[in-house]
Amino acid sequence: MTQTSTTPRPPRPEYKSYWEIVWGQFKKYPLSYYSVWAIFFLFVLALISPLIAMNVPFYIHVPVGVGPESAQGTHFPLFRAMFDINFFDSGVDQFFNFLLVGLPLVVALWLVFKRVAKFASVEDFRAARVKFVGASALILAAGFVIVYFMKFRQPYVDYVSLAALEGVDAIFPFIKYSYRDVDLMSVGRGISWEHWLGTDREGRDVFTRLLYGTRISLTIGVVAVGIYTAIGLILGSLGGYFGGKVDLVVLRLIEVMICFPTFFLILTLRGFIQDPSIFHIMVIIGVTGWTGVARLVRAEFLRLKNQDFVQAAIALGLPRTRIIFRHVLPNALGPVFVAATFGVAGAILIEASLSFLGLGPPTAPSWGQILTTGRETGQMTLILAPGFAIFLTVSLLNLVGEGFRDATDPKLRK
Amino acid sequence: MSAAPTITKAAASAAKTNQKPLLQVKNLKKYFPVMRGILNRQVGSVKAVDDVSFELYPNETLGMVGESGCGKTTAGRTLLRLLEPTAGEVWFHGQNIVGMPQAQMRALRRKMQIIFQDPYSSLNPRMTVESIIGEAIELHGIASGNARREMVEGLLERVGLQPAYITRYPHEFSGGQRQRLGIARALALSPDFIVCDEAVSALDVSVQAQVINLLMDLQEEFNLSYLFIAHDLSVVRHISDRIAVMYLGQIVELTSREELFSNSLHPYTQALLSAIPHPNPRRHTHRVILKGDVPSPLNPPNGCRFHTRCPACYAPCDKVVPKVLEVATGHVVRCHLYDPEFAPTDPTIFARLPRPPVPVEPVAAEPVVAAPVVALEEPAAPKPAAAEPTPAEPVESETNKAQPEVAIDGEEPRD
Ligand SMILES: Nc1ncnc2c1ncn2[C@@H]1O[C@H](COP(=O)(O)OP(=O)(O)OP(=O)(O)O)[C@@H](O)[C@H]1O
Ligand code: SF4
Ligand SMILES: [Mg+2]
Repeated sequence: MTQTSTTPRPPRPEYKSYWEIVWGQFKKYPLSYYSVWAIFFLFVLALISPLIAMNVPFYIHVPVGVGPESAQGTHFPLFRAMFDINFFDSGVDQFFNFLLVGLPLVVALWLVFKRVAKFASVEDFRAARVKFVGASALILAAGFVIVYFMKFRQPYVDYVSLAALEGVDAIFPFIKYSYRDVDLMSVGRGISWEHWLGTDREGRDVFTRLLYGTRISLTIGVVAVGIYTAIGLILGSLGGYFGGKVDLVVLRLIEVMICFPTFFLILTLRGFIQDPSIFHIMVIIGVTGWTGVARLVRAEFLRLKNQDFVQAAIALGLPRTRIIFRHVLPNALGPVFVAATFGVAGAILIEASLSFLGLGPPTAPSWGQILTTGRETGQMTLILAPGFAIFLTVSLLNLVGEGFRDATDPKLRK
Repeated sequence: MSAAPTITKAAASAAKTNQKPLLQVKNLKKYFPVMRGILNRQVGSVKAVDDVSFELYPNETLGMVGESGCGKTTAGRTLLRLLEPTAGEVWFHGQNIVGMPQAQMRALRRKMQIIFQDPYSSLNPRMTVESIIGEAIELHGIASGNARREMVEGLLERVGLQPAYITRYPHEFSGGQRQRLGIARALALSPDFIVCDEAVSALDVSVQAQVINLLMDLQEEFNLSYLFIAHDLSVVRHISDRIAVMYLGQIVELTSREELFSNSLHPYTQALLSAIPHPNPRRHTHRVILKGDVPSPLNPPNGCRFHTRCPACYAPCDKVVPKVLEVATGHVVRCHLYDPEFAPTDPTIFARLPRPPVPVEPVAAEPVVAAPVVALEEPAAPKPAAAEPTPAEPVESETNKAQPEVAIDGEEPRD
């Protein structure tokens, strides 16, 4: 370009982006900071559930003459089973399994890319990082959609019985159960070495169900909050920025919504659905929960619109979309992010309450469903274990939310 | 401009009178509707700016003063169309910008900028200095990448900041530095006209002087015109060529700086002037304390808006709205006293003014220092209209102070 100056300019000093500053602040709240790592740990646990508990081996060797002919030879069946609807039929599981394969690939690629590519400045590096994350998210999403709609299926093989045959060599995950395997020979067992948390009335291993329940609960929390945050952001910013008639419509909508207690609204909507899946539950929570976010965003927009820096942006003749997305929205996001963290905890609780009332997704191994089974059969492990999991996750999320609330507040900078 | 740096402001402004105005504001009005009740019906309107007209010439500074709430900010923002005017015209570069379509307006905005009062809320806390100043440069297609960075660094240097600051965030700067950043942002698109809305009011006195000097240097260098808004005359006096005095949404007097300080006509202007402490403490001029509060712009007084506080208020004042009168070339005043139609029958009314006019017809080019002499030679200082208790300051006191004194009741303290 027009690099006319003869003396090379000194390299630009390092600077931190807003979220880096917030993260720096956040680290100063130890409880919240460790909670973030605990949540991350939960996420990793959800991700690697099939590696911990599954009735399909990593590796199996069936000698000639033993078992069915198709099973003979050396196989690595777990990888294929992860995308096989005989083993995992819910979208949530397929999604996590896909991530389990995809994420390590992406991370490895990034590490290589970072080594190989040279970046002239911090900005270039950041821009490259944004592009990389965007591209890999797109590719992963596309891959998932393909996998999900292919409905890949192979003849079912009972690997556990197969492995019990003489001469068969197999390495299984640590726990040899699937969360769906009904075993009528071992119904309602207590705590033992085989079943760490016992079994439920259909003979399913409770620990395994709890583990896979992490996937369900986190997904319900994140997706439901994602839906209502999106709705709230759009409506709130429309009302707040444009004001006038648009605002009036948004305000009336909010007022109508908050006339009804949210939980009863959810129960009513639930009544329209015969046989809900967890997606129905997420959508129901999503479409009823947006009023808080909408009001928050609207108030923030009203406040920010009159701030001098927004007026300056208008005076500079910047396009309206630029003003909204660069000047107003980023400054309104802090409180929304905090509210969303609390919201995830709230959504997990709502799902648990629905399940507890017998209105939840009947087949999913969600924590609420396990708890309900416990209530119906009176088994203590089935009540205490999911109860504790819910309590722990909700508390951790609330701690994180509180930390972020303080970290985004410039008045509380430490 | 730089070829003849010795030209004084006064000489320059004299040369301007036959130039074409850069900005012409005609009968500008801005009413804010007041809504009440469940049906949200309009029950009235705040007449924040009511019939304001003035012109601004290239390279000129028009000072605008008035008490808090008199509509200065609203006027400044309305004429930039940051607020939609209720009525009136604003001609800028020969185009009426009122009602101009957004796309066209956006292009014209490059030439008209604003500097704000509060250095803390005027910069986006999420953006680095480079983006704050350079954003408009890029979006108006002037420069991008390295070229943009160099422009930003140049602007920073020009307003007295280090170029290395480009990667910093606003919260890392002091108030004065932030105000310089605001100035750099306003300069980025090389405008012709800048509204300085109390640009120095929030700063320390020493920093105020630096920023004012910076603004004056920039005016010379880039041939800028300023609308310089402030709430007291002493700040405006230094920088302005002409001064407009506002009261309750209207300009009550507008004239050249020299004329305003030597021969002000409007009772309100005179009261403001008498409130300025004189640098020479032995010069005791008559200080007038205006009684009462500023009336609400929601229901401004009938007739002359100043009549509730005017020491000279007489017959027509609370009934007839005073006309805008041009009493001498370039000297505009809105008061019945100078309207031949309502010429007061009792000439002693003039004696009630804080600074009774010199009986001879006004001389425009009187030097600034001459004015207080006239005021000094006035015989016994007449008391304000209704035998108010004498101002706290005995006129004879030799131990006169030099510190400023708030002389107008009802002005809210500024934070
Ligand atoms: N958005 C608004 N809605 C309603 N009334 C308003 C609005 N903005 C300003 N006003 C009113 O208009 C009048 C003029 O306000 P403005 O801010 O222009 O005064 P100002 O002269 O700049 O005062 P200051 O010296 O305090 O900055 C005030 O009475 C104010 O209450
Ligand atoms: S018109 Fe009357 S009330 Fe108004 S300023 Fe003049 S003398 Fe005072
Ligand atoms: Mg103001």
